[in-house]
Amino acid sequence: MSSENSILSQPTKKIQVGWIIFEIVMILLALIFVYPTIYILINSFKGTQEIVVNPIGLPPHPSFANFINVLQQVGAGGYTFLQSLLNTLLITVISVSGVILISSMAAYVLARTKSKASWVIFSIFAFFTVIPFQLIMVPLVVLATDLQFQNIWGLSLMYWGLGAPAAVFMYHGFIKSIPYSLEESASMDGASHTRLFFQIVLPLLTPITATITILDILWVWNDFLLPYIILKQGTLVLFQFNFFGQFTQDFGALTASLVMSATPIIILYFAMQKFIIKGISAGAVKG
Amino acid sequence: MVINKWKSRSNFILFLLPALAFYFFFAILPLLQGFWLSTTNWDGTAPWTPAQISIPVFEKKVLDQTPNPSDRALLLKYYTKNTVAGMYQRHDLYGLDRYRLLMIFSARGIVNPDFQNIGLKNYSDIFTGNIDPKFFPQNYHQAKFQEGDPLDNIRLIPINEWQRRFTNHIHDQADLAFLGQAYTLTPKGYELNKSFIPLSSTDIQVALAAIPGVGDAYNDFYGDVTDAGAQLKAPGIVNDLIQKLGPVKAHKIAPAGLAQLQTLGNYAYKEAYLKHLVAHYWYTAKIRMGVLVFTIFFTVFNVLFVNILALLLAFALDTKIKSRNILRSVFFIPNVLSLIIVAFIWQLIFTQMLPKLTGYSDWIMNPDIAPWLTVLVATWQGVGYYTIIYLAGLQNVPQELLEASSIDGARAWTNFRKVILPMIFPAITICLFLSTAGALKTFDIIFALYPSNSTAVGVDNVVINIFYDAFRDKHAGAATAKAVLLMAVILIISGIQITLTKKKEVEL
Repeated sequence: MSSENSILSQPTKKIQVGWIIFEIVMILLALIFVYPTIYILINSFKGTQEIVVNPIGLPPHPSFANFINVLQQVGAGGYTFLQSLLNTLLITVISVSGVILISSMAAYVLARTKSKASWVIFSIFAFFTVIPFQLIMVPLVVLATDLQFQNIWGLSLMYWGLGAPAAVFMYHGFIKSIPYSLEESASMDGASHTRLFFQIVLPLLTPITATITILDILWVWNDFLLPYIILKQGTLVLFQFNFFGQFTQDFGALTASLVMSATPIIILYFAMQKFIIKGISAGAVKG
Repeated sequence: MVINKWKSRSNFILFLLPALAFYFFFAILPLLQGFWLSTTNWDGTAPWTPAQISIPVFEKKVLDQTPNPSDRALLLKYYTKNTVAGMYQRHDLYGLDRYRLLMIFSARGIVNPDFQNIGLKNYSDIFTGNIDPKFFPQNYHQAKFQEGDPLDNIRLIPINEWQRRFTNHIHDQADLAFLGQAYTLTPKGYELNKSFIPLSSTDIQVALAAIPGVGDAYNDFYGDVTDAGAQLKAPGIVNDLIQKLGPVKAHKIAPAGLAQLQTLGNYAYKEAYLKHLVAHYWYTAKIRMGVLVFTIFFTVFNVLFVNILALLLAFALDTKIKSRNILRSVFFIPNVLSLIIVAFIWQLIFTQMLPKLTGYSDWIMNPDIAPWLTVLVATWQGVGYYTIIYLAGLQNVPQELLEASSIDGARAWTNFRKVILPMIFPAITICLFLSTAGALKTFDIIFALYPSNSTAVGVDNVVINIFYDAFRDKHAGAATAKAVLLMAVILIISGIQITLTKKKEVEL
């Protein structure tokens, strides 16, 4: 990456002006691009009547009434906003930590074993990318009813299975690139396989673990279809979805609900931006 | 280094097992079951084993033929004898027992007609077009006038429309003659004669109610007259109705009132007749894309727009502008939001802001515009992601070249073609295939933009269609068959991608 303060070798006035205009144009474009989100943010402080009369201007009497309204609403299945938030948090934590644990273990032995079986199993994991969710959707609903899995734990365990292939794939690529010598010396010291993995290898995997964690958090947190067919209600996205079905005309509440359900992920994004962007470039190029 | 072979193998299995087991249970097993379901006529809810069987069949053909006592116990656990109905009736059952019962029954040769193997019929139905007609492109008529619309909307009919829709299409001479009486040809087009129906429908109703002696009867009378007009009954109907009105009411109505009733009734009758005719024949013939073509439309334009915009953005951000890191973050924001939130944001934009801004209110529900709106939202959401990948690709290109190309316009194109393009070709391949697969599988955005009416607006893509087939229209078998074909398409696309990437690697 080029450094921030590097300047053209021989800056002339004309070029400088050109850059400034270019920069202004880009900033304007970016403003137009994010305008829909700004529009929602501004309108969340207006009353429904004010939105209908003047959807574009600034709120004449900014108030938090809409947000309080959303907090007090009991959505489909008796879930409030906060309960849905908590459920989503729980599902995300259980799912992502599980995916990380089982995938790193599997990828480790797959990457460090050079056998036909290892290659075949790795290919079976890689095969997941071509399975459209719509094909396993109906059987998953059947399975969920058979196992009585229509709850937070059941859904999370499904995420373990559905998240493992991509994570195994990314861990596999990363483990291949780290040298074997550390593990070798540790195993000579008599460390057991399990200790070797958890004390030596797992810490070495931190960069890719961070990437996979972020990507999987975004995936599980934002996922709609699987929770929709398994749970119907109770996660943040489902709260949002059902909320729009319920309050079709209360635009104040609708905009506020959008702001509220977007906030956690936006905070995470700005806190973890570097990881996210690095993870995506790395993940895509490897995938 | 000496590692016990047995120990290392057991470790291999121990470390691998959790991931493999969960993956097998929640992806591979459902996949295999999906293949199986795609060869059945299952509707998604029907029990796999018969809900009820007549007592003799159950006892003689099933129970007596089942030697295994635990199987017999299972059968009797779920099927209860109901002597009144003469049937064995089944309880709800889930889990492994569902599969065990299915095996017991199929071993006895008893199949539930709602859950039976129909071989590849689902597939042949798809290929022969023997499925829901909205899957394929189709013609449809968009009415230019609805029977409930005011008469003012048909005061003038353009000459070419008149010929195309009325002269050439209406075979009933009486109907044509009626229209001929109603309209006069003027240079502007066919104009409705002022004298034909001089009053608006409200005026007619007010005048009817005002006739002394008619009173409450006007309501029924008006309704009957307009019904007759809409059903194209003989024009004498007004007389008949007055006759019928006669014995009870007519004696209260003065002769002048009766004459007025006659005139006004005729107006109401003509209006209903005219509105019905025009609403029926005045339409625009249109082509609806259908699920298949819409999917292709959506995929092509989404892939095109997302990649072109992302590439341009990546070029713009890979320069020395100071705000590039902030800009990159900004363009990426839609990508971290849930697709449901993204769709709802735009739903409010389309239904609230755009009408206010443009004065035109028919955006999201307009079948001509809606397909483009879905592409717009998907492009807005996806562009940041592909920008990041292109940016990573551009980082491989020597900086001096990019600078040169941004300064000297003449050299820029050559630079781009000869140096930059080959360097970012891997990124282009990745983005093209990722975005194609993503566009094909776009579900959330369309589902949330059109929670219940995507079919009516004509923006159902394949995955939405599969979802509705499976969970709304109760064709789970056919839905999974479509999903299997979708998987075949994705397999082909991935195959092309792998060959392309391999080829490039060889060349480099």
